[in-house]
Amino acid sequence: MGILFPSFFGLSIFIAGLIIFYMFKKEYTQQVVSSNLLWKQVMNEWQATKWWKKLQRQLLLLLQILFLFFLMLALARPYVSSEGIEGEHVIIIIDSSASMATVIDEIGTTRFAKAKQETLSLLEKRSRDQAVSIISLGAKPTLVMNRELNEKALKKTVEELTISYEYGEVKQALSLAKALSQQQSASIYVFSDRITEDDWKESQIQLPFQAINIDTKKNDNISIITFGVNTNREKTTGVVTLKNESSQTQQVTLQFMADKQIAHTEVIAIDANSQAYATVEALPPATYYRVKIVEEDQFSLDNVAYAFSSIESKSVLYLIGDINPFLQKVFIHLGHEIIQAEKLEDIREFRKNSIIVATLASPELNQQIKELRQPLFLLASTKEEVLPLKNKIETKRNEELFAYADVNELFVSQARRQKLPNNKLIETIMLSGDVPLIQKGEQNGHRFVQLLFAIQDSDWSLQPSFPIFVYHTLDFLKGESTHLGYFTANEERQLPLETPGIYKLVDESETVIATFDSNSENFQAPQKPGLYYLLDNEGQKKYLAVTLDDREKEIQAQSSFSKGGAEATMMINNVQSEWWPWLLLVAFIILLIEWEVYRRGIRV
Amino acid sequence: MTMLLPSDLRVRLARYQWQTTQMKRGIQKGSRRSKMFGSSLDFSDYRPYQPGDDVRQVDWNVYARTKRHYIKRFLDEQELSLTIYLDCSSSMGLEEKKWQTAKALTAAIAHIGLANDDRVSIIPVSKRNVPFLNKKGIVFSKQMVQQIEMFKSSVEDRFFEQLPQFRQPKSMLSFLISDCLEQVDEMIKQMKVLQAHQQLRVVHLLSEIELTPTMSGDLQLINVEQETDIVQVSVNRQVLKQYEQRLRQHCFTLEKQCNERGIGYIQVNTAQSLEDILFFEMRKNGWLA
Repeated sequence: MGILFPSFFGLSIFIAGLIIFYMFKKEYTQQVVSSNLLWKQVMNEWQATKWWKKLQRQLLLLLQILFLFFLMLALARPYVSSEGIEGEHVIIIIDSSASMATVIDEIGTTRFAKAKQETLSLLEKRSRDQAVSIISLGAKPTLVMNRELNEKALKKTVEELTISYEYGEVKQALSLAKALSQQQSASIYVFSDRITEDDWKESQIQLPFQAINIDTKKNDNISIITFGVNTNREKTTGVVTLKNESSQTQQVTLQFMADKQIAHTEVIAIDANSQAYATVEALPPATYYRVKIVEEDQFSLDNVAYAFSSIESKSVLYLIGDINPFLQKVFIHLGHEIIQAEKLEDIREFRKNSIIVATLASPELNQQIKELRQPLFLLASTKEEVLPLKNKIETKRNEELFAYADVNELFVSQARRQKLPNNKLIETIMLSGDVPLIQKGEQNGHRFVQLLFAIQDSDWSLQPSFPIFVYHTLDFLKGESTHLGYFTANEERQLPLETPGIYKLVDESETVIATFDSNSENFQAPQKPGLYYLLDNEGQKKYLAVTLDDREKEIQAQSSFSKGGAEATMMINNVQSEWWPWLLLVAFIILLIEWEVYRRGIRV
Repeated sequence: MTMLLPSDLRVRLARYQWQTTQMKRGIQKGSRRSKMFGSSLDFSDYRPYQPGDDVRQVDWNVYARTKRHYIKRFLDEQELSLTIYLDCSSSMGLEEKKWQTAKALTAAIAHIGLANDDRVSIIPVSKRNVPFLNKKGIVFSKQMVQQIEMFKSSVEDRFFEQLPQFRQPKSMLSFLISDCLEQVDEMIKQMKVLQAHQQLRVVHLLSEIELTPTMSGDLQLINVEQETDIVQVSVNRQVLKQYEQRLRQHCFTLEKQCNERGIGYIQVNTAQSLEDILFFEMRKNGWLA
């Protein structure tokens, strides 16, 4: 509340003047009457009446004073400076990452709901000409509202925001906000739970910056950090890693389920702020396993984890010819049975689940390979023609073979000419300029992957992505399994599906939540962590688990902070909702009343 | 003369006469019945002769039949002595219409008296105005009207205060024409003095403005009879309402007190015509017949 032009209060002398005017104006019109006898009585009676009745006599004066007062007030232009928002442009970043699903009070309000609520109250403070942009902070920042002025649309948008269950990429969101804030004076508000001052420093944002990290009073979160099952011939073992985030020892009940049966229940105590492990031997064979913390805590998303059984037997690798020793080492580490042979003819019969790994060194082998009806992992021979590489290595986006394998640092000195014909079923997944480096495809109804460079010509074998790539490759070549593996929320990926067609995506409660056409689109995983399966036309189920990002399993909130911008205080707090038009209206109504009173006064 | 009493009104007035309950006592013979026995033509009764009676009054016819002496008695007819006290204070003269009405009323009352051979006195309660005293006979009517027209109201006069000084002790019927804007107790006190051995009738004349004031704004009301008497009034509807209420109360109290003392009272205003006042209000009260 403030006054824009306090000097106008000087006009109050007019009110004083009016009162003085009235005091002196009381010169009575003289009138001669035949007798004052009755008038005296009447006036005596008046003297005895209630004070407010007497005030009625001064009604005109009062109304005039009021009128002048309101007029003066309107001129002085009072405003309610409801602690406004700086800048012409307000950028609001709302964290929609999984940890925002943390419940912060007894009613079950989540951090996200609280963030929305605070955003709405922030919007209240906005002045009419402040544009608002809203960014939803997920794995990728989404600009849900750009420079919007319409209050209704803004509120609607905020109310319709949903949690994305992804990992919150703060940096990207901040750089988007920074980009948005160009050319205008802007202020940035972040509603999150884990934005730090370091994030702010890194973003180099020079604008007024408010980070509101929504905290919980207590933290009793226990999360399942990892869950895995290991199947060997005799038994299946499950291992769970748990973490207690709270500051006291807690007991939790772990419930293991194999498919839909409860297999094992275990109670373990976890010390404050520490991790614990639980191992379960002899789980029954099943397609998938689930572990669940029975106790409720603030953050329920990390109380369930899924693991798929690796019960299917490992494929047998037939290594033909000279194979890079690094690769061999990887195969051994991955636990595959390896059969080596000099030539293809040496192998009489292929075992079930066999994969042929071959270096294409001779034309005969080439020919034989072309006719072979087995999955193939083909390596380039050092004897082949060299193709120089000039351009940066690129990979196909969302390629399953490169999942979790970062090949950006890969160095390949030269490529080799390809051996298998370039038919329609071949897809280049890594290339440099127009030189293909890795291809995958189908030949004779079986899959193959070929490297078009010698492993010796690159430093790949020294990089951590190499064994991952090999693992994925073998997985790809082995063909489909009963599960599709693990996904992060909203992850988009090509699926190794045998039969193209329409699939239904079904969640744990047997509800069809989406359909997916494997011909035309990449599969996008659902948002919410949990177990899903894809159902094809023949009733085949393929399970997939959407897992929570590990970084989202901790719900400890950072503290809020605020930073003034470099050019702060230029438009500070000018959300002066002025209400002088209302004052004018009141004054006008008073004027009308006054007029009416005067009219009646004359009529009597 | 014609101003106060139009000729048609005079003709009408002559047909009426004042009614009184009291038997008249007077000095001179008149046309009114007296409680005394007298020498009118109307037979009253007989009474046995007593020594000292006028022998001429013995009814010899009765003596012839009864051998007793009876004296034949006749009703006495005496004149009615009528007095009109006119309030000449400046409050009466404040409005010309009110003053004219008051004077016309006086003239009309006097005219009826004169027309009926009553002895009429008109007392303007004032030191300056010349009273019209003890005149009898319709011939004085013209003179009476002329005299009334000369009457002036004056500031010095206080009607009720001065009333006893102007009292006509021999009067039998007195009319009092005033606006009665005084304390009721005060007025009644003076009226009681006046009322002794007389029949008193009050004509309470108010002007329209007094009845329903039309003033507005902030006013300084000055009493016409006393310049120092000033009341400041911010007139509004409420105040006027209260004034009218007070006035009604005032009139009612006065009427009540008059009735208790056998004083006749009518309240008239200037809006009413003379005929209305005389032939309706006064007849209604049995004053005129």
